[in-house]
Amino acid sequence: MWGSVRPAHPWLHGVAVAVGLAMLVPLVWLVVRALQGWELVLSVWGSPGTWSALWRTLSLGIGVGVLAIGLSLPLAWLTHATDLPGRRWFRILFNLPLAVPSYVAGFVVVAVFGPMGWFRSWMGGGPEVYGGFGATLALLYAYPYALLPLQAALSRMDSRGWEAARSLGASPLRAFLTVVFPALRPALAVGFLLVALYVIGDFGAVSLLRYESLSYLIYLRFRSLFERAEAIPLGLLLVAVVFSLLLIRRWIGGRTRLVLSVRGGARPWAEVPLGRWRWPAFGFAVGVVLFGVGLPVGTVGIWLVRGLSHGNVLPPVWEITRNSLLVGVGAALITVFLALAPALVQRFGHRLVARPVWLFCHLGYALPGIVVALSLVFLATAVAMPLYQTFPLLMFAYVVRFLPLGLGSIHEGLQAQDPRLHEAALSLGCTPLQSWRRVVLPGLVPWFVAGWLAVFISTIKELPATLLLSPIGHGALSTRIWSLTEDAFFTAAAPPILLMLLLAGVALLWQPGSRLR
Amino acid sequence: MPLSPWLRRGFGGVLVSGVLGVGRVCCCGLVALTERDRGVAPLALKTNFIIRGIAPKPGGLAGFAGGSAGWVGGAVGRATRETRRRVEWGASGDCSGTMGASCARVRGGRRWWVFCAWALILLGAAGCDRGRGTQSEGVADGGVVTVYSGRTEALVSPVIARFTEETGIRVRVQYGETSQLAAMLLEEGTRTPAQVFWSQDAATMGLLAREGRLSRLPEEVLGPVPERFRHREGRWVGVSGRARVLAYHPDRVEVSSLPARLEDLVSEVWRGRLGWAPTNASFQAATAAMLTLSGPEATRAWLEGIHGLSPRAYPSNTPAVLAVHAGEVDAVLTNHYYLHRLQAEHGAAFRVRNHYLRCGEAGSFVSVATVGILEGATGPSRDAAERFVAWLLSTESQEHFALVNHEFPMVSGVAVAEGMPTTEALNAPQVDLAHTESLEGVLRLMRDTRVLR
Repeated sequence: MWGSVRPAHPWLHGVAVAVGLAMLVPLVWLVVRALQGWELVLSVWGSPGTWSALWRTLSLGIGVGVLAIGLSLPLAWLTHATDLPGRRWFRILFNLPLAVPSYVAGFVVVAVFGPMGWFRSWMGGGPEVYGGFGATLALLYAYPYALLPLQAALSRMDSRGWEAARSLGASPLRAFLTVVFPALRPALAVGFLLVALYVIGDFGAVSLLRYESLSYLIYLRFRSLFERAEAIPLGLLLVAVVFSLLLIRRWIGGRTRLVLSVRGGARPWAEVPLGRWRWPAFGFAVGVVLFGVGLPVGTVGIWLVRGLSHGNVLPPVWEITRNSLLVGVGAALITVFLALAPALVQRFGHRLVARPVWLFCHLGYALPGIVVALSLVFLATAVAMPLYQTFPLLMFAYVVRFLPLGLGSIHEGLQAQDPRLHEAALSLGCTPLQSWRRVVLPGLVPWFVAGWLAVFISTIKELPATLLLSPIGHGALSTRIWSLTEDAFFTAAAPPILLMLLLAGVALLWQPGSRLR
Repeated sequence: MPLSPWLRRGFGGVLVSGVLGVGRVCCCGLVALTERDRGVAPLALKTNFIIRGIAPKPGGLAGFAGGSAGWVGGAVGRATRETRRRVEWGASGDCSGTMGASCARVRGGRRWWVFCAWALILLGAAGCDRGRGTQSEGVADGGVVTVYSGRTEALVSPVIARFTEETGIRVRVQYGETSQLAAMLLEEGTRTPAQVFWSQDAATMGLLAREGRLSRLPEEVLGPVPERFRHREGRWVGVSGRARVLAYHPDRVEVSSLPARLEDLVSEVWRGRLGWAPTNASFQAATAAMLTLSGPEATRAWLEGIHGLSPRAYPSNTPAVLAVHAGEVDAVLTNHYYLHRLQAEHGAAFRVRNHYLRCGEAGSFVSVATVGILEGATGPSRDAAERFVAWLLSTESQEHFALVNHEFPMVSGVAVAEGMPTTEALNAPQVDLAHTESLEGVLRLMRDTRVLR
């Protein structure tokens, strides 16, 4: 492993271990609860329904993950290295679906592809939307989790390898496959992992589309008055799924560490002319935007116009928007800074520390939000009552939920950086800490921003943790949207949904490589 | 290339405002903390006063100013540097090699500072704003009551706002899903900050009462509510009712073929045309009533019968009623008031109708939203909580539930919305609404018959 020449700073290891242990709270809670009723755990694990739900969860997670990286790769390439018309706008638009809450995505998919949706009436038939097909479509709205790291990687990638390959006579496809693709593998792996973990923890879309995955069962058990205990073994099973997905990520990420970008020497991509493919590619890009942004905005717009024409009123949204914005900005900042320690240890530290910390950090993200929220209720009421229902605890919940989004991005940035820089700094007399501060970190800014964006958008979308752990009386966009759609106040739900998209769109202006501002 | 002095100055501003911003967040936490204490300790009061009255505004303003300074400093720093470089390198615009590197770094660096500055401007703005808000709130202080509400904000917040207007008592509400809030109450135990729990259904209340978490309500509060809509020991009371109905599309269902009892639905006529929401609490409560009234065999037969007709299962009532409108199914078992909500959304184009069964059995079950005062609420907050519960049962609130939300009032003599039957005409069955044992039995039956997984 690179950088193992000199031991990393022990202090950094300490911080990373502390962060990793803090992320263990949900698992500890699950284990404590499971130990209270061990027979139940065994009986739930033994039932065939559990195993079929496990299979459905795994297949959905891997399927959507693969589809998402398959979709993100051409999108990232088109917007960063080609002469696609309007590519700077597309860079932002492609990421907007991230801000569509999964239950809204579910409503949209049912409205369009459902038995009476216009897609069916237009095509005169089609696959059954309820089940795997619909759930895949609705969860594919999470593909920007894969796109963001890819875009960050491309924006820092040196194009000279590609140019050299082209000048030596390689076809564009061959040059892409042999030079660019291997360098993107870490980013693809991170993207796959983030999408797959999001999918297995999602509840909104799978419940609306009646796909009985593990997370759906967990929510049902928690909602039930008497079967709450059965959610615990299911949650432990989901932890096992997380581990297996992390193994798959290692495999996609590959063992080679290709270094194409030397900080200070990276050159922006020259535009690759698309030639006659320019307009078909444009059509493809427009299609993706229509599906990802056009459909939700259109559906919600119809709600709004139709409802207003029938005299529905709109409640004020200023306060909840401000709440969401502030908490989101703060939580995302804290999360990316906390993610730094595990990421650095993963890159430069001792593997005996790095691997478990890496693993622990991904738990909270893949577990359904309700498990994380209830575990923190348990923790706070048991040992930290003064913190209960305060902003610090809410922020902590968001960190537990979304740390991997920052971690993946930063880790990938570290991997793309030449480790010789760090070593050169050390040999010139810097301490490791100085080297990180003055050499390594400044080159990481795009990845910081990419991670921040993903965490920010996820935070304003997050529902269960916000519902349960918010300070009393603190409304947010996500909780408002949920409560309004729950009671069929679709008109009133429209402005918060559109505002959420707007906030995400404005935030995406910070995206690395976007030069719109 | 060393950082320009301008940028460094900008950084100072950002740092100062950063510290203040973090301070603000901590202050918010402290305010929340001190407000949560029911017995107001002098020290808490003092901290509260300092934080709310004096500290926020300068803190917020300083954050705002610092953030702005950081922003301006960063921008000016960049401009100066650009100019200097242009002077040094001429206007060739050559940006390759080492020069390209410094370009890339400058761009990245600027984005970072500007980004921090923006974040802090926002934090600062919030500081100012929050300071103003809490000050004006403190004017009419008639006490505070904390409510966990499983009913959604859109349905109940007007009633709560009127309560504060009438009594001067401030209400702090935590909205959420009924079952999650109940799980939270059980997890919190006696240390809960809440005095009142307002639940979507009666069964959750039954569970809390069984766990000893609810205290007895005073007689005069319970008085106007009929006995079947309240706990026999008076630990909870119904606030508003939702009737079970069969929502159908008049174009595809003959009025003459509508069932008189739930059992009539088990017929080949309905194969593939029905929808239901078996995970919904109201559905389960109605089926529990069937278990109490008709016994386990009949209930199991009914569940198996309907399940055999391959009905479509929906996750909740709203998508179910929408599915009737869209034509996915012809009729769904649901609660009555989603229809009125969706009619308000879609107008006359929404042609679904409600069929009230009125059979005096499970088919005409009325599920009630209930409210109770938690054990451990004492002193002034207990008084406030009692006044709150009494307010929900006042004529004004009951009229709001009936006329605006299209629910059934629990107090007799309150008018219902146009075109709806009165509460008495529903012919609701005489069962214990919060009979947790029969609910457990129903869940077991539903798992056995594979209606639920």
